[in-house]
Amino acid sequence: MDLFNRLRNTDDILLHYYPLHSALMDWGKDLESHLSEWICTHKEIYQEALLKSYEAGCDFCSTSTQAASPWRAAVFGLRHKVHEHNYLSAKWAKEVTPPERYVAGFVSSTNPDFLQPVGNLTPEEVRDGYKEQISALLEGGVDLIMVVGNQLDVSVIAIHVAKSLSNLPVIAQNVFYRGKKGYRTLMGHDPVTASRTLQDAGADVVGASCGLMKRSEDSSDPRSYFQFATSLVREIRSGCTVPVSIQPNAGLAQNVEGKTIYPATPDELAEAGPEWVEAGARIIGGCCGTSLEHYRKLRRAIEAMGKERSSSGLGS
Amino acid sequence: MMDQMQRIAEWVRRGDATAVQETVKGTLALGIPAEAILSHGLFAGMAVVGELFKEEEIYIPEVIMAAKAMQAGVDVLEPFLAGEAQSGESGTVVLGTVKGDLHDLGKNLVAIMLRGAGFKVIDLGINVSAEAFVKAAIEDRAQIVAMSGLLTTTIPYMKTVIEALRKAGLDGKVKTLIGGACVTQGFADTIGADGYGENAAMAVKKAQDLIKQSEGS
Repeated sequence: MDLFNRLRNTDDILLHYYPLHSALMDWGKDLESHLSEWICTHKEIYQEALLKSYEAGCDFCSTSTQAASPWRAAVFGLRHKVHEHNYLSAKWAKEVTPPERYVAGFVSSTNPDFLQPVGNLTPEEVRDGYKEQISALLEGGVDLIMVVGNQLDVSVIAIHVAKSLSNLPVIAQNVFYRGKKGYRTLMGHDPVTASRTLQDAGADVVGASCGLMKRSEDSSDPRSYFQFATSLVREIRSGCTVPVSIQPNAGLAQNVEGKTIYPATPDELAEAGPEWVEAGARIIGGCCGTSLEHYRKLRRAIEAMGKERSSSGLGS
Repeated sequence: MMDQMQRIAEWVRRGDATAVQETVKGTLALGIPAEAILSHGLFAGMAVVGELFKEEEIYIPEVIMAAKAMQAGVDVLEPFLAGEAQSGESGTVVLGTVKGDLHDLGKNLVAIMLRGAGFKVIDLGINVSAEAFVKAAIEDRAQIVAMSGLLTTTIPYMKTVIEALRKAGLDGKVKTLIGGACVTQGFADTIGADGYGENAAMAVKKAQDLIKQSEGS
């Protein structure tokens, strides 16, 4: 069943993508290499990681092309590889994607630049840049476009470009931080405004991913971190009519004796997932720090939830 | 005179580059020294911006627009500023995101805020090696090396940079300042950094404190 159908005509809960941008370090990627350049020179590992993610229960995979935008690629002297990075990442992902699973072409912001007047980019330049990237992803065979970033204004342009180039679904996520006034994007937008803007631009699913969803004085307990994600889902849901997606990090990253620890255990994520569904999320998962085991347990928790719902007459 | 300064500061806060330029020109025409306009008008405006940003009253776009407005005012003043009393009078900072880390939004904001407070900033970019930090600190005679890092996997590299500065004989001559989403005061203490900035606004304050310490010693 195609993704539109599943979102509109079923109650299916879908699991997000395994976050290769952080997980590839477990597969041998060094910290410094450009993400897409590494992926495009390590086809076997890339495809193996994706296969394993589907086995673990992910419904999506991501092309991990956040650094393959014209603007980001230029910082690394890789501007000339934009087409190749996006096309190959999509094509190779599609080759290993089973039916009923979906390849998301990942598009991020115009970082390090901004739209004028804050930055130097004109709307035309942003449109042209996204056209180049999204065309290559489409050529590679993605099933949808995923727009994730900190800059709402360019996310809107990316959604417009995606919709002008294809009839595929678009999922759009903002990154939120919990501040003194509640959740805000880096640019200062609250969740309802930010999500509504993406919906109005044409996104078929809106949501939140990554981010620091707590303040430094809050508890470092992952459960409370995930509760913030639950309240964020409710807030986004209150302002939008399209399905909602949530994908926080596996807790707030800690530096423990020089190592990065994302403290949320697979069991803690599996506990939180159903709460996000109850709060109204249709697509759930974890961003940085989320392992295959996290996704395995989350998948089992959602399936158990589905069985409970069916047996009590609530299921689809 | 204070009215003029307040007006300039207000236009900086509002991010209106044209208004800043007009008011700065007008203030110069009244015979007010360029150095005073720089400190009490332009820098004062950016200090307010820093406070508002810290209190989450304004966000990154407003800070960037304010910095542009401030720079527009500095451009007008440049020919009239004598010797050291120009941008850079607060000190020189070598800034970069440490090796292995590619995040730069926070670092870019720190650069803006430091320049807004009169520091000369040598921004080395992202993925910066210890060698590059040391080389720039020596060549540009920096008082401060400021390091940014978002990933907890890369912030240990800040210790590598501090050791490299020590090996190069810069211990004590160059102060180190660190920051980043996962950096804490505890981490700064562990690795022997001279200062920790919780956000871009605090980075400026800490940089100013470190300069005072250097001058005092």
